[in-house]
Amino acid sequence: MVNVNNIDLRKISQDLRSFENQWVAITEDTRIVASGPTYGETVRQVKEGSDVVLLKVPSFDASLAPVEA
Amino acid sequence: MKFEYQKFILGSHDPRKPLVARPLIPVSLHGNGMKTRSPYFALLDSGADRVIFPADLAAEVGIPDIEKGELEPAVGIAGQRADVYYHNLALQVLGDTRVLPTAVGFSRTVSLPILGRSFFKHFKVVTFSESKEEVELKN
Repeated sequence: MVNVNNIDLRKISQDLRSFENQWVAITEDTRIVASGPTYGETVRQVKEGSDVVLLKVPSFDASLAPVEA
Repeated sequence: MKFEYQKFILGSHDPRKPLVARPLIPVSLHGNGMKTRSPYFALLDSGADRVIFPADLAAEVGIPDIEKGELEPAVGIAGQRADVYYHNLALQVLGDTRVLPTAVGFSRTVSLPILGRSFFKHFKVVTFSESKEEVELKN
């Protein structure tokens, strides 16, 4: 099981820009090991048994606001 | 369960600018005898009413057609509307043994997974600690 508190996205903040609005699979040592337009396409690139957590990479040019008011 | 905020660049990269810290919770989605193979981060959003995920996650729990769910449109703070279709599924927080029955909305126009207040109700206390930059979910 991934300990997500060991993941530090600051380490890959510049790399993440290339994956804006895509899914990425991230290992506990904060490496991107797969990416794709959907969760399914991304997770199926990950070797069976590998511990990763997926992230939908947000846009970098705007802050986030609640979906519902 | 405590989860440290994750930090993102906002706008052009300027090392003098602070990063934006966001409370991301790792969850798995359960339904129809299936579950997502790996956990994924969802934004814990105390300003959202409901749990809403991008449509592509539905296929991972055997929902090929999100529109078969119950339609309840959502409106954002700028007035933008999104069609959201709700299905009775369940969520599991990474590290928690409990599987939490939750109405999960799927939308083709919502791009980020959001855990709104219908998720909060599963916990006795939800604490956002801005000084520690972490969120705690207490059962």
